[in-house]
Amino acid sequence: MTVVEQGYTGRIFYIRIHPNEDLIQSLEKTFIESGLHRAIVRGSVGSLAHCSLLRGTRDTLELDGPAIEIMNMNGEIRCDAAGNPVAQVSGVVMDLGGQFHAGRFTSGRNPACMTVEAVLEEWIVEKTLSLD
Amino acid sequence: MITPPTVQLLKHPGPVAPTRRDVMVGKNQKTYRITLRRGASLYDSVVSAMSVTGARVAALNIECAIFSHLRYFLIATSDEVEQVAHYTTPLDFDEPATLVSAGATVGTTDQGKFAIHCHGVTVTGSGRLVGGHFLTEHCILAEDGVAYLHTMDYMNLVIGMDPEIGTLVFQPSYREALI
Repeated sequence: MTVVEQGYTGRIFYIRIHPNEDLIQSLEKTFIESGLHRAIVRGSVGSLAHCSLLRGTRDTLELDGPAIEIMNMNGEIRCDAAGNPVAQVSGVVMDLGGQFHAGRFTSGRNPACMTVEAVLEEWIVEKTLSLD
Repeated sequence: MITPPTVQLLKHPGPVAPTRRDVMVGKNQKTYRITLRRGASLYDSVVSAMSVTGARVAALNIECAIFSHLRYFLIATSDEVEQVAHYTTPLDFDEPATLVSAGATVGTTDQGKFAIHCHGVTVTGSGRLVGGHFLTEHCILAEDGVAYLHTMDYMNLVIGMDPEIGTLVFQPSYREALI
């Protein structure tokens, strides 16, 4: 079912993730600690000690570090039916050989290497439009 | 079920900082659409716009850009370097390169000069992907491009030494409101 939300952006958050902390879980922790209900992940940069990317619906690519550069990432964080935050963030990375890879970052398998800078922007829903 | 291999965690040269995540809430945030000027560097275009807005910190989204020249670093490791990773010597690329994706934050040096942390990937006419950590002062626009600045007030983002990793990175902090 198509859902159309009318809304606007609210607070903006700058997050610096320190070494060995997981990218996705750090975003989800920030989301829940900040009382957010929806957030947009804006362009972000940094490096990862290990990178795990979901490609398609089931296949994951595991890239060993110790340094994988994040070229960019974008996505959204929202709550699942149980109220738990779920970050769906995709991006392009570069490995130590200079090769580029892309996919969705998996949870718990993307620890920061030196630093990761991320920007979250709150999405505030005014109303959901009916498609009837 | 196949258990994925353990994720490698790193031992950095310095003491582990007790804070593992800095979260700063921007205030008075505004969004600006800016033109990246043909013939100018990415740095000059962004800094000119930042000066007009009066902001010192921003997230930068580059929506479209074609470069005539790129200068960038790749990341590398070496047993002879204390840090877990370091950058290579600068690489130059002198062909037209169309931006595919980039992420960037704008802050300042400890001397107050604007600094841009920008990673990006471009595609060349032959389809080759080229990119890395952009040295934005030396990334020259071949034609006008477009970017969006999401400025954040009441915040400093200053390059400083991180004792844990032994490397200069952006360090966020709050600052007093300018009245």
